[in-house]
Amino acid sequence: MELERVNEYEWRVPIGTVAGMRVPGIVFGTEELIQRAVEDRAIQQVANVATLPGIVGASYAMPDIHWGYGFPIGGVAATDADGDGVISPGGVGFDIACGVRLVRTDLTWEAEVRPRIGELVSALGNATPRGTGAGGRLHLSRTDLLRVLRDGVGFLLDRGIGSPRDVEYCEDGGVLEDALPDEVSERALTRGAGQLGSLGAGNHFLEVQVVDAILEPQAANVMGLFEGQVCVMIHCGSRGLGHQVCTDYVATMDRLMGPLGIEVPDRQLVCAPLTNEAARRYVGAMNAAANFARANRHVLADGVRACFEAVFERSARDLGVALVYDVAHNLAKLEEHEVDGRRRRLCVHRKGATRAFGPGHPSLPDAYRAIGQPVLIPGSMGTASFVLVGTAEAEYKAFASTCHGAGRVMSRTQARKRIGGHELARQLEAEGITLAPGSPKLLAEEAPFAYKDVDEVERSCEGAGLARTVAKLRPVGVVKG
Amino acid sequence: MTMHEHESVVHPHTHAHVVHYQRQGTTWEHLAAIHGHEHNHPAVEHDHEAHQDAQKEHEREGHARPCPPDDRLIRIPSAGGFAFLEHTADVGIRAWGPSISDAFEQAGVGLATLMGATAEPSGRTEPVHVEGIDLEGLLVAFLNELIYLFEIADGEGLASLKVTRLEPTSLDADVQLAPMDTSGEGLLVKAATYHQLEVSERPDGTAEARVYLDV
Repeated sequence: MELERVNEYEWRVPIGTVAGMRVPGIVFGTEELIQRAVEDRAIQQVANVATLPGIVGASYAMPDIHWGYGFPIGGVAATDADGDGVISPGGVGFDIACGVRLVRTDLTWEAEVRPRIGELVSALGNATPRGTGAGGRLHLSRTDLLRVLRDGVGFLLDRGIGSPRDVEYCEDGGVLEDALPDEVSERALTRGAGQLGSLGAGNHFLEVQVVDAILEPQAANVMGLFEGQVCVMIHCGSRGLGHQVCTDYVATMDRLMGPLGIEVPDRQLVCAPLTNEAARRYVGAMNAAANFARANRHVLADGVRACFEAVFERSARDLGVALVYDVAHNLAKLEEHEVDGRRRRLCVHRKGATRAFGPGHPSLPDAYRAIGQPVLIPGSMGTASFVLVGTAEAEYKAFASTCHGAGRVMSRTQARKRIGGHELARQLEAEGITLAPGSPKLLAEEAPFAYKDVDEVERSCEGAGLARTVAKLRPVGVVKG
Repeated sequence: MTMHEHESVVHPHTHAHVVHYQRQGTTWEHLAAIHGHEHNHPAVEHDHEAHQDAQKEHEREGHARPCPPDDRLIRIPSAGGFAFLEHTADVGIRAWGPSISDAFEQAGVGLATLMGATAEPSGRTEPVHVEGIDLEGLLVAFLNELIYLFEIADGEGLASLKVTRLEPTSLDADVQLAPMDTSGEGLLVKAATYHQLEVSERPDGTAEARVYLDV
């Protein structure tokens, strides 16, 4: 597969790499990251996405690109919302609105939290349902579940969970108004009813982190971040409810491909024109699942707040426990972007990629408008995480998108062969990371070496102009999903 | 018969990978790669029949009893088998059997094994009916149905399954669920995908399927 180098951090996948490409592919990253993506078949997937009807600009991929199903993980594709553009449920993924939430505190690591870390991680472990089949912190009646799907985080505020700040500092104010709960199937509701406030499994986690370095003091100050500070990062999604919504609509659109006369090189790319009834229903259901995902992280954060209050015996307000930001990295959104000097309405799919609006964007909270949208990049378990901000430049690079994490390089079986869970737990503890109890086998599957070097991914994002790095955080306590 | 433990061991391991492929539907060819790497075995406890019949044993009639490795064993519902396929982020299943129904059953057992959702045969039977536009679509729909059942079945796993009717666009199966040991070692599988999905029937009537799962 021939890639053309555009500059140090940008590579082009020419039209013709796969039959039927309507636009080229553009992949961001260092030579080493790109080489991995080629071996991994992920570049092939970038080319496959470029065949989607109505795709605009290019089929993009972020530096954490790796082999997915249909779309590559790290893929970004925008389609024309006023023309023949399609929406592809597979381009959002099964874990709809999976994302990251960062909660800050005023506590410092060395003086205040370090002496209590065992107690804190144990409390967080107990307050965070996780793993397969785990019931959530809240069990909702059908009526309340439908209200979460419609009103997102706002419904929980009405119930006295959280503070108004939690709405303001969540992407979209914690709710996508265009949600259609009636388009969420009975099965999805059944899967989700007991799961609000649960982590799930795989690469999902809740971590106690310390701000290790501040790289942009002004932006960090606006976000309330300082060196030595203790924060909590939560990485999870819409649980079984979102998985079922995707399953349902992939099957629905699979039946439509023949009648609509659309052909795709990988069946998981099934899609429908945005004007189609099935697409309209999917968008409504996807937005409802996104509201569930935000509410899910909100409920988990409420548990975090309670744990800090219990362990430090002070009020959350007194401890400075507050939301920094909450952002999704699996979603398709209707956005306006400038294409060839013209404002256009686009449906931007981000599959393992984060929206990264630059300074001045109207959809940002007032406090962040001057610095740009915070982007939260979770490292793999036991490695650094980053806070970035969107740049004005990224708007013209990849429809204001950046990476979402480290990106896997090794399969789960390979990871398990390299290290035993107990040994990895000992290694992490030796590095000063306290672990909440969990399965050794599943711990090994998420070993840090199974992922790309998150530092290299972060450097690539900055080098390519997709985002600027504000702060680096390192984990000190891990509750693994 | 003696029960004993082996400590975990790492040793060099050289082996060959051979791929058989049929060039444009005519002749069979091989692609072979030989390589070596370190191989590690986890600690294991198992038992042997004592060596009794050297002749038989040298003719490779095994004397070691199967011991449960990582994944718990499940009663095989039909002839055939399954294997897991490597994927960077996710995992695939290759399943095969004397017929398409058998291959589908094997894929279902593979899924349950991966999810740590296997149980002793007993318990309640859940009838399953799915539809799809073709065999591949049916396989995905069938596995997604199982994922749904495992997720909502509180502490229950797959005890057995039988595809009772398979038409080109619809499938019926009896899925037996029973309480299982929930030690939490299973993977959370989000869904079966259409990525590189394949169901094929060989000229001799046997069948093979390949499907990737989002985990």
